[in-house]
Amino acid sequence: MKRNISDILHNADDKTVRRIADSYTAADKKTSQRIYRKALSRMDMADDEEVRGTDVVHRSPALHRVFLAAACIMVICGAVLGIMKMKAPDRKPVDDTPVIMATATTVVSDNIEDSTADTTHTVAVVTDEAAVETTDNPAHQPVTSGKTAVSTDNSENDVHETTRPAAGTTARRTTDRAAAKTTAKTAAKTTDKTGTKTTTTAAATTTQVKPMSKNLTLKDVIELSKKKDALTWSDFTGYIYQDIGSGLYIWEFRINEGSGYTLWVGGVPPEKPIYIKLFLGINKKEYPATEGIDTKNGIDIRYDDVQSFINETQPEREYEGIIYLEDVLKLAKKGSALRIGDFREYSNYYNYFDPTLNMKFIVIDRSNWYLTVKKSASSDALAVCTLSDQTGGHSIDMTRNSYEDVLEAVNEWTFKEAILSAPVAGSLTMDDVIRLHNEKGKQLISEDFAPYTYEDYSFNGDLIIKFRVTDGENWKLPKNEEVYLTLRLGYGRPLISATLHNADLSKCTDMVNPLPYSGDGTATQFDLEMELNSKKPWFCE
Amino acid sequence: MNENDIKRMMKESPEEGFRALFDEYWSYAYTIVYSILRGYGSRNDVEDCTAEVLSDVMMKYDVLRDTSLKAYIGTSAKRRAIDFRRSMDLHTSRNIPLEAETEYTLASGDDIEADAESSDISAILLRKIEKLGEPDSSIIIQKYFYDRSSAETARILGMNPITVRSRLRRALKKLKTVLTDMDITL
Repeated sequence: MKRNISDILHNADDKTVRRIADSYTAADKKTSQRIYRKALSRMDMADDEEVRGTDVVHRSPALHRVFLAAACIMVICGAVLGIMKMKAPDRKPVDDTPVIMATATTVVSDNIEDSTADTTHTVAVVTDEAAVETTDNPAHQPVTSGKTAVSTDNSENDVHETTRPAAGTTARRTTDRAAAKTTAKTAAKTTDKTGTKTTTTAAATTTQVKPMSKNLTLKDVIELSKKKDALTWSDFTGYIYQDIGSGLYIWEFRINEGSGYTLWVGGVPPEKPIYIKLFLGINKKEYPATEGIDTKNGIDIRYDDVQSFINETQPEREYEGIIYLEDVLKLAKKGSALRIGDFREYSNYYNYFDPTLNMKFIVIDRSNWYLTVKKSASSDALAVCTLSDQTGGHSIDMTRNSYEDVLEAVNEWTFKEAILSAPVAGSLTMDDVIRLHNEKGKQLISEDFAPYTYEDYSFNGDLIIKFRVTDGENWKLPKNEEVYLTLRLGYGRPLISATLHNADLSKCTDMVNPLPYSGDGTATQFDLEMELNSKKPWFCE
Repeated sequence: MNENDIKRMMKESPEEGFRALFDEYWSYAYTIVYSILRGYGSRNDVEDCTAEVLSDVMMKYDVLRDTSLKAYIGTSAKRRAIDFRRSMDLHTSRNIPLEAETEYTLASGDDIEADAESSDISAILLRKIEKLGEPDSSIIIQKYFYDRSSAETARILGMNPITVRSRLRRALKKLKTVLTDMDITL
């Protein structure tokens, strides 16, 4: 009868056990220290190193007075602050809308005593929706503090003027608001020889604050083209450009979204631009070389139809954009409530999003996975919303399946991909597989497979280890079927799973995880296969 | 430190004597206790029982008697472990077959030949394992006698778990060829 090492050593006779006891260390130092402490406590000889009881901390009596004085001071300060707060005037309501306030001063006075008596104070402030604090200053105009503040003191009698062209949507929005809310006040206090004070208010100059520059989009180009001949340089100053001109000024705008278009604005500012041309292509070389831009076939956006030009020339979109699996799963939670607009933020053509197109997104964190979307022609619902794994040849419709199903599919495909790409770590016979299962059952651990691992296999912290299963003496594999045993390891845990499967994973049998069994309690899938198909489970001939 | 030194220390300074006794014999007692409580109690039970054995020896052993301290510890450990196991069985209301209960107290009269053969096999196996040399033999004993994982073995032997795994694999390969003749599998 065959026996294995564990059986023999576990049932070893006294003599052998004592030899083992004599020759081998039984446990680690921590265990020995624990036993030592337990033994001491049994003998009432508790280890002196052990900390018991609590220490009473005595403070110096001199400190008592200091602490008392500190406490009194804190109470008094608190009371004073409370009274001041109660007596303080009510705060003015805070206006949290963006405000552009421009203040300029022009001094008109004949009775200026000296140059220092006249102070022109110009403050241009942009406030955004972030925290805004308003402080009343009785001596001056209300000052609004914000992110940007430009302050110019002019002690000469010049009238200061600041003009900053604004462009772009942001600029337009803030300028409109500014029109309503711009306050132009001038305060000049002069003292004449008689000592009388004169205050003169003058008209405000225009002050516009340049917003953050942004990339020009095709949508912006279409909007700008509506201005036709009224387009000026200032319409483009809010966008990122590169001046590539040598004689003339040529502002080159690489239109965002990966659309592959370029806009050139040429001329001599502030004169009206000579041309504002839209070309297909992006310059791949440094100017003056212009490889990549189709300069012969451009249009002037002031006089030609931009939309038609785009429709005629726009290259076919191979992919609408990229998306992460995490975002796919977020979208899958919406299920049948998913709409085409939900995909817009993942589109490379965000500002030129066309909901009528067939869209294909690349799932960037998986190999060869795609998300295909198409809107229904008759309604707002989606006709197609399919996540597909082109490596494994799987797909699932996200609107017609529950989130749990999509998640399960994603996990399964991911797991299959990992198994298919895992290297073979070793080999064992089907006899070994069945013997290991019979001996260890659900207690199977990765170390049990150590004897069957190739010597040159480098573990490298792999969490998936695949073994090739071969014919045994008693159990043969089915013909034309490659059988593998894949272990899924957990961090510091026993095996998550040990699965017997064929080459394409169309047949899988779990050897470790128990399943509820209608007979009595639980059994592993392996047991059930062996029992239900006792003559011929799929992995045996 | 030999037995006589430990006995002398136990007589002169109980605290130092116990420290010396413990350092010398805790592993020995633990192994004997473990071999009996394996499958019955947890590792914590084994530790408790070992602590009881050593404290009993300290309190009851007559240092003036001319008997072997090690043999005394061995016998105490065995008896204490059997008592421990019995009490655990009672607490868990486990039915104990009579044979199992007497397993460690009486040799089987019916199958002395089989017992002798079993003893021989375990002794031969141990010799084969010892022949592998250190640390391979320790790794095999930790795995198959103490049922320890590679990580635990690595901690005890002060090695890297990956090294333990690879050495175990090689050691088992060597052992496999030897054991096949004896009809022993891994």
